[in-house]
Amino acid sequence: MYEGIGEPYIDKLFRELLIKYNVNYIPPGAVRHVDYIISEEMIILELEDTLQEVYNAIAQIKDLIGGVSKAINCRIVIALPIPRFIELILSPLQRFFIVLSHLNLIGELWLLDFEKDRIIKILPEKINPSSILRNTSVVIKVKTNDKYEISEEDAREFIRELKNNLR
Amino acid sequence: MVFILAIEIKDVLRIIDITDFFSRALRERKIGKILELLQLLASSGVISNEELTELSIELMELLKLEGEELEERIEELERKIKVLVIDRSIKSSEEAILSKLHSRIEFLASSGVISNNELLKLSIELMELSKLEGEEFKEKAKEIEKRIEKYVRGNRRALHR
Repeated sequence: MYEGIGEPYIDKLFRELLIKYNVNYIPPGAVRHVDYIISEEMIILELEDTLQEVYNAIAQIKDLIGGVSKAINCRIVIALPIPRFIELILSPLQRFFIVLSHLNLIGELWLLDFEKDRIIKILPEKINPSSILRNTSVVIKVKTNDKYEISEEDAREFIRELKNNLR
Repeated sequence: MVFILAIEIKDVLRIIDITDFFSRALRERKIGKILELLQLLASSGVISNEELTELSIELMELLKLEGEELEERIEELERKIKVLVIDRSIKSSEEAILSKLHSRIEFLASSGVISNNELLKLSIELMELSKLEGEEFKEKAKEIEKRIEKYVRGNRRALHR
C-alpha cells in the first residue's frame, strides 16, 4: 500500500515510471495549477497521494483546469496509488465522471500499482482509453448512462472487477 | 495688504493642490488595494488567470474616473468580486462535504467498526450523493451524516479503544 506516503514520494515513483517507459512530460510547476502534462497524446494529469485528495483535484478541475483542457483539447487524468479501502473509490470516481460530463471533457482515473509496476486505467465504458503507457496498463471500463452516472448494480460489479484485478 | 492677499491666494491654491493630490492618492490606494486582493485570489486559485486579467483591465479603467462615478464603479466591482468568491466557495464546498464524509467513513472502516459489506453500502450512498448538486445534495449529505453518526454512537466504546 502506498496511499498516504506523501506526494513527493508518489511524485518520485511516478516520474521513475515515466522515465522507464520513455514518456515525455512537462513536470509540476511548469504550467500553473497543473501537476503534469505528459505525451504521446497530450494529457493533463493531477497526481494525488490519497483517495480523499481526489476531491480537491475535482474542485480544481471544475474551477481551473477544465478550461485549459478544453482549450487544448486534451484528456484529464487523476492518478493516485492503490487506496486502502477500494470501495471508497466509488464516490470520487462518480464525482469525477459527473464533472467530466458537465464540462464535456474526456478523462480517466489511474490507480498506480507500484508493486506490480502497472497502471489501472478506469474510465466510462463508452470512452476509448488513452494510448499512453498502454503496455503497462490494465483498462477497467465502468458502465454508465449518457450522463456518466453509475448505477448501484454496476458499482458493485466494478468493485468486484477491480478487486479481482488487484489480487 | 496686497502682498498679504497674494500670499493667501497662493496658500489656498496650494491647499487645493494638496487636496487634489490626496484625493488622487486615495483613489489610487483604493484601486491598489483591490488589485492586491485580485492577485491574492488568483494566487490562491480562487479566480483564474483570465478572470484576473479581465478584472485588472476593468480596474485600470477606473483610474480615468473621478468623484461619485468612481465611487459607484468601485462599489460595483467590489460586488462583482464578492459574488465571484461566494460562488466559488459554494461550488467547492460540495467537494469539501464529500471529502469530509469520505474521511469519516474511512475512519469507521479503519477502526473496524463497519464490516466490508457496510463499507460498500456507505460507499454506494456516497457515490449517489456525488451525483447530486444544490439543495438535493445538502439533504442527502445530512442523511448520510446521520447514518455515520449512528455508527459512531453505537460503537463509541470500540472507537475509543
